[in-house]
Amino acid sequence: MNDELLKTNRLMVRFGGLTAVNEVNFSIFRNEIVSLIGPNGAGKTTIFNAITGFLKKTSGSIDFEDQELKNLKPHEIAQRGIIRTFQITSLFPNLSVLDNIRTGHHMEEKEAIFDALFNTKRKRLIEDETLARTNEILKFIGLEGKKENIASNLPYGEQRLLEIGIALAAKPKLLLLDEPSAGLNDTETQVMKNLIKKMRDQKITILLVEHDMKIVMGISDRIIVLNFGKKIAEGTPEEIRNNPEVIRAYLGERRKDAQH
Amino acid sequence: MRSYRTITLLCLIGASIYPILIKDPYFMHMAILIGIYILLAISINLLLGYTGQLSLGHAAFFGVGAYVSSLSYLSLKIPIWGGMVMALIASGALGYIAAKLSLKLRGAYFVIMTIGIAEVLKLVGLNWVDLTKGPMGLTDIGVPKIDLGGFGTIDFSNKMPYYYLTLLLVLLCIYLQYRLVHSSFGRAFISIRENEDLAESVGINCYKYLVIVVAISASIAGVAGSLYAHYVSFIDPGVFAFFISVNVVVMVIGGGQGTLGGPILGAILFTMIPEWLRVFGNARMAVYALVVIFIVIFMPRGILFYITKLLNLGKRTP
Repeated sequence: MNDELLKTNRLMVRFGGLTAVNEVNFSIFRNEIVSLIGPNGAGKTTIFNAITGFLKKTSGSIDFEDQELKNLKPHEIAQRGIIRTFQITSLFPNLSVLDNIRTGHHMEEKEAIFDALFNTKRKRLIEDETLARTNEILKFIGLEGKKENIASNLPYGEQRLLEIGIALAAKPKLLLLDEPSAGLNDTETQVMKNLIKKMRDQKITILLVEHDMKIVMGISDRIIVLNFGKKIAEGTPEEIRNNPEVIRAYLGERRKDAQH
Repeated sequence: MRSYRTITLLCLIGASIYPILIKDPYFMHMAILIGIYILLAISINLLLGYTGQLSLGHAAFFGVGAYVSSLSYLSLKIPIWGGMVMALIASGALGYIAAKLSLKLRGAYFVIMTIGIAEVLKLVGLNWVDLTKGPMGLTDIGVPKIDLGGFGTIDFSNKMPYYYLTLLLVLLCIYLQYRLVHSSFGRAFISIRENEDLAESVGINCYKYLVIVVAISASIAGVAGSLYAHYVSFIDPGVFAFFISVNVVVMVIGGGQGTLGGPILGAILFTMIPEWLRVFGNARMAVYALVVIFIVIFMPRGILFYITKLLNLGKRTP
């Protein structure tokens, strides 16, 4: 059960003089939900970008399934099974909801150009399979009634659900969610929370960046806290809640001369 | 969906009986030119309409197709059929190399690269006199004849057979485009246009698909070049002209990029509009420019979109 999926080893990302991520070590085990929290600018999204190959790390290493992810392009990392969502809503805006998810399913469609041009039986089988899987996901994220809608016309909350649908279509072994509830209202946040819970029940391993502490405390198995690019704490929600360093990072330190 | 099928069928019937109804050589000539432009428009549309990359250098592939096909006829006596295949391979290979070199670039940088490639080839055409005869151009590019034994011969120097040859190739390309777009390849192409980062993040190798698109697109342009060379039987380095690339891009954008019907409509309209404007005499091209500007400003999504809306054929464009 203690099956290590992802491991970072002294991960470091620098932008010029600024050290965004400073020698961070952490592991993610199969079937767990780990949250990455910290004040703005703590380096959470930078870690996401470094893991998924959108950013070059300065030093350190990232292992996935005991293999180092070395100089891989984003699509190569996705092909290994690490799928991410983005902090700012990221969809295929002019495509229908159905096509959005179908596109996410791309890696599973091993069709040759010959199949495409001659509409072979193989191609039609692949298309059927894709459609079945797409419908499954639509149901899972609760958008089955909106198949034909154009993605950019969806209400914001549903766009965020669709993003997760696209990621799920890519069959993630590890799913990185970057602030899925950012900008959502209370009802939408509840829907998102339920969706994440449903994903946990499906045994999807998740690394979550999230500001909504109710979500983080409610669903995480473990929490990692970052501040100014450094890991300052790691533990269960209970441990994190009572960790003085974390409280200090979030609420600031009381100035000594202000005590009177 | 049904209405689309009807319209497609009507267009098909119209295109096949066109030469029987209209015997006028001028209109036959225009129809063949339109056919060649449709091939080019499809070629640009695959790249611009589906993957969102603008090329202003497609004349390079068109010209290479024209020269390869002509030269293989003139010096090796290979008839148009072989020439067309060679044009396809040569332009496709050039496209592949050009894509490998330039597709690390995006946006304006990519556009400049494509212009550069066409301009370099134009200079090669002008200065490699031993091969291309330079600005004198190549003449007497033969048109094929097919011997049908007892039934006589089909002489492609007549306009009607050449029209049908063009039509056949156009239909083939439309079919090819249709199949490609409605496959996982097509979805990968479109995902690059829509959101490249997201496409990468679900495992789509954008670079690879762009190279594929450019190679296919270049091959089609090469075939169009070959068809053109054997039709007019004379080519000079003008086939690499910037104007050709731009004109086809205007057709695709004006007609409706990223649709199957748009580029066809665009190729027809933007070949005919300058002809209709002949009444303006010397001011013709200036008026044409105004028309183009008007269309781009008031119909930014392409004429096809607004026609579909007008006819109220449902939400989706074909």
